Amino acid sequence: MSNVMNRSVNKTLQSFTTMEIVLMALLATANAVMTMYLSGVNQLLSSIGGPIMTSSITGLYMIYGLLAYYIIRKPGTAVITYALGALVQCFVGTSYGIASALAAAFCYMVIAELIFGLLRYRRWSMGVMMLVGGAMVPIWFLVAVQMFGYSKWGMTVLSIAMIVRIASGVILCGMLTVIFGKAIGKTGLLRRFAAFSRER
Amino acid sequence: MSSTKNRPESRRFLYRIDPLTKMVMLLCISVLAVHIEHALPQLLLFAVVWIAIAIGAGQLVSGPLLRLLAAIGIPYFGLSMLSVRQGDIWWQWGALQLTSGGLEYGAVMTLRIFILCLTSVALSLTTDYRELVGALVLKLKVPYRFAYGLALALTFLPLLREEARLALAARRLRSQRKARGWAALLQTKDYMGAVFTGSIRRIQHIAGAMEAKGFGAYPDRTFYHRFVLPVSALYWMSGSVLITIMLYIIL
Amino acid sequence: MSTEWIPFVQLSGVSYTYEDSTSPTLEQISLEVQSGEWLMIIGGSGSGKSTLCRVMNGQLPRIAGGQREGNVRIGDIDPGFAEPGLLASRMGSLGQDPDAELVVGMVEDEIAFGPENLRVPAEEIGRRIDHWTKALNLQSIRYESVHQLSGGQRQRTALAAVLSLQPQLLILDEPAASLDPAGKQDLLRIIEDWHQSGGTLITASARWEETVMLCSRVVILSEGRIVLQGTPDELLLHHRSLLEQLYILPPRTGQSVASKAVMSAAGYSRYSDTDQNFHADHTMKADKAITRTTSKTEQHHQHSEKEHHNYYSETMSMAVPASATVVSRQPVVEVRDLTYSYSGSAAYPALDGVQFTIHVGEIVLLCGVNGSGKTTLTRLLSGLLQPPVRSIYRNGQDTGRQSIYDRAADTGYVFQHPDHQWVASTVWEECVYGIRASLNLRSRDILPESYRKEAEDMLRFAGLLERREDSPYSLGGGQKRLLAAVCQFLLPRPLYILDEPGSAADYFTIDRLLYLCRRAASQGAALLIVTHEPELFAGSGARMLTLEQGRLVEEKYSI
Ligand SMILES: Nc1ncnc2c1ncn2[C@@H]1O[C@H](COP(=O)(O)OP(=O)(O)OP(=O)(O)O)[C@@H](O)[C@H]1O
Ligand SMILES: Nc1ncnc2c1ncn2[C@@H]1O[C@H](COP(=O)(O)OP(=O)(O)OP(=O)(O)O)[C@@H](O)[C@H]1O
Ligand SMILES: [Mg+2]
Ligand SMILES: [Mg+2]
Repeated sequence: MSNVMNRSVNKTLQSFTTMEIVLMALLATANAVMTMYLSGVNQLLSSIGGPIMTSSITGLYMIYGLLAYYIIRKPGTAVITYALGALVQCFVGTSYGIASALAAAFCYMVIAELIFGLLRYRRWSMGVMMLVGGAMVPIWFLVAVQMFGYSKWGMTVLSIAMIVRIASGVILCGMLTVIFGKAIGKTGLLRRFAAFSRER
Repeated sequence: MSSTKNRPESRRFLYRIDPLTKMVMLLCISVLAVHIEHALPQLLLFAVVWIAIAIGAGQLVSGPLLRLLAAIGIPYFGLSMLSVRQGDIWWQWGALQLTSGGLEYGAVMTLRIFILCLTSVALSLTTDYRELVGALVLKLKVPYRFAYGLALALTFLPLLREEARLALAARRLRSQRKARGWAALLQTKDYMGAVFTGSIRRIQHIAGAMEAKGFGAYPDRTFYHRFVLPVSALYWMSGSVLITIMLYIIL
Repeated sequence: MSTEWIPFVQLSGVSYTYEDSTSPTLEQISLEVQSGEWLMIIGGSGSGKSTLCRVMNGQLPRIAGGQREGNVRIGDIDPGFAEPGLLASRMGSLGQDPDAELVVGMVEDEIAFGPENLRVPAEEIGRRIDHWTKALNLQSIRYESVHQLSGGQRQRTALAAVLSLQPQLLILDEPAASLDPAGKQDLLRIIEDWHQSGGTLITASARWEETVMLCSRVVILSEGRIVLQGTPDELLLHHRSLLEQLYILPPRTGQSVASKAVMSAAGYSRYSDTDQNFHADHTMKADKAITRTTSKTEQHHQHSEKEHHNYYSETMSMAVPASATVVSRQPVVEVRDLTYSYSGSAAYPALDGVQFTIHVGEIVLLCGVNGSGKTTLTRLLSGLLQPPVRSIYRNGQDTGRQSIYDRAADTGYVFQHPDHQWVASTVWEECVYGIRASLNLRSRDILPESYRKEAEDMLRFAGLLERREDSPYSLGGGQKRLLAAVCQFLLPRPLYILDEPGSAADYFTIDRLLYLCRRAASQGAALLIVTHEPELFAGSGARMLTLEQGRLVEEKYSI
């Protein structure tokens, strides 16, 4: 049984081309760079408005994986991209520590794979991307609440923060993914990828 | 500096621990830091981590790091402290209250963040990512093409940084004016767009070069730097896990 | 051996069209290479050498897409559609841009990368690394990370990384472009050894250099077609003038390169009417552009003709050494005891006590082996790197205390790696970027007519007017360098710095560069040109500086 599963996992992994791997690596790097620049913004926001203000940009932290999925459209993309992203962050240094980087990546990849799997990797509309962007938020937020002791903030604040985060996921992650993806597609540089290949 | 990378004997112990053991240890520390709810043990843990890193990496009391910790810690401490109202009231100003419970809570949370941050500092300072790639492939059986994704991503980083720096300088050299406000934002957007498309453009070439060198030709590959997990690593790993479990139950 | 008789590489009727372009870049290429042969592909900038190499190594169309017709065989496989990686055991290939070839971070890792993928045992990999670092003089930078290398060091590393695969067939695209003369000798020796031991080799180059005489066969490419092939002696004997027209050989002595260009341009319109087969058809890219517009507007013709004359009468007057006439002895830039180290690599400083002055109207050549600090020096002079205080003076001002905006205002800088320079998405926008910026125009504003015209003339002069809507990244190597230079020369500056502008360029590009340089000098600008081939740029009494491990060791005037 596990053998069969192993083989099917292997087969899925084999289906990624070198170019796709390079793209995922690049997006993971871009995310690390962006995170570095955002950490200043983040600190500013959190000292102005605590957990609610910081929540407004959470969508940006997840965009790289979704963008990779949007472009590559193969099962397993989120697993690889988010794992790469988290490891890169660990090596570059993240102010939230390696445990939270890994945990966040895990939460995101599970949800993304689940939803795209349920949709059988066939639907890539703006709506679907926004759905995934929003859906990736809650689990990690619950974990983060535990980790960083937000639980003391009180229920109202937490619910508002949750709503802001989901909105941020929908807009800054889901919607931006499609906008970015289309913009990159226009340059004609990614024709070899599923999202922009001629056959579609 | 870089030529010393290959002489392990000149290094301190944090550099010498293999990446897997180091990851396990750092994760254990993170788990503890998240679990502990009282200021004193948290302070102890913080001290232990700080000293371990200072000795093990030999370069920790640096200005930038202290500044980073301060930047993260001070606002966080203030907010946490003021948001909890328990125990004696020490100070009050309108709706704001400083309580003993709040103080302890703020201290625990801030120290927690510090410890988490230090784990990542320790890893990034003292680990050669190539070793981790080797460990992932040889010990954790990750297919090498994906483990190499990590190596790629980490080599991209300085490359991209250098390229971004050059691109910015190129714009300035070509007499782009300094802009303010909205125009500056537009300039930045243009610039970021150009850097990003530039790197996307490289994907093709890099993938081409990698395949030309046989990347992915076989399901496995050899490693020039072989990764050998020392026998002692197992003891270290299980030891740290055990200690963590014990402390977890006690604290 | 029976394999001797089967061609190892075989192309029949191959055409290739890039994804964004409308016309094919390669047309009807048929070619056979026997195993053990050394084939050299020579052709002007933009003739399709790199494209042909990439078709043979399978990157086109497998990775970059596009449309390929005809048959390509390497041994018994079609590289364009083979299982990726299968090729690596037979074929090593080095692209034109070494930056794009380096992928894993450290010099040693780069060299190990290929053999590791091919499952070569670690001990053997170690041997190969030792061997190639020694052969290509990489020992001192073996543990250096690749983004800290100089241009030539990158090229050496990329070469070592390919050679360590030890394939049967090597395809090298301009392998010596940024190597110093010693490096070129090293490479030549390596190639010869390897060739002697039975390896098959295909190299591409834009100029006919002495090394050509060593290869077994030459293919001359022009505008995507094979126009000639044969042994080097044969071609040199019978087709010399064609090779000169294709800018592959330098024009014969007695005529300056520039004047030659004008003359053949004048003769061109007459020829193509009468003699359809004449190969000059494939040659004068710039001049063709000029004649083409001519037929449309007579007025325009008058203008460009006149301008061309102006260009060249100026040049000719410049044949009198600048040093004799323009010695107003006004320093444009003064370098005093400049020492510079990159942060992070502190083995020895990249520049050590450098001291010199460049005066108005002077052309200075800067030479030195790979990694001697030439690019570092130019970066400091241009302000790309922050110079230390009290070391570089412009107009008596210490540039160490200025911001990059101030420094930029009076330097034109052409990067060693042209791709680093691009700021716009089309050739045209690239060209007028500086003008727009200096007039404070936004990208949607219309350019004043006079500027537009000037930019158009400049592009036409560089033979790039037809490409104005294409991305600068899609140009050939020589075209990129020319475009990069043209963009700078459009803006009047007291100092121009060109970092290896002539590497991997044909004589057309060099001619145009030389012309632009001399014109600028005659108008009172100072020029600093980094090059490994001073003979290309010398001539008019240029001063030559040589760097050695960051020290200025020699200063002499060439005649
Ligand atoms: N990606 C691309 N898209 C469209 N056109 C391209 C692309 N790459 C190259 N070309 C065009 O194809 C032609 C041949 O280019 P190629 O790079 O093969 O020239 P080359 O002979 O190697 O020149 P050089 O000596 O300057 O390197 C050029 O006109 C170039 O502009
Ligand atoms: N960004 C960098 N960081 C650290 N060291 C560098 C960097 N760039 C160059 N160096 C080092 O500085 C020295 C001089 O490099 P530079 O690029 O100036 O050489 P160069 O004379 O231009 O050589 P080439 O002919 O190969 O282009 C080299 O040893 C190089 O390794
Ligand atoms: Mg080329
Ligand atoms: Mg250089």
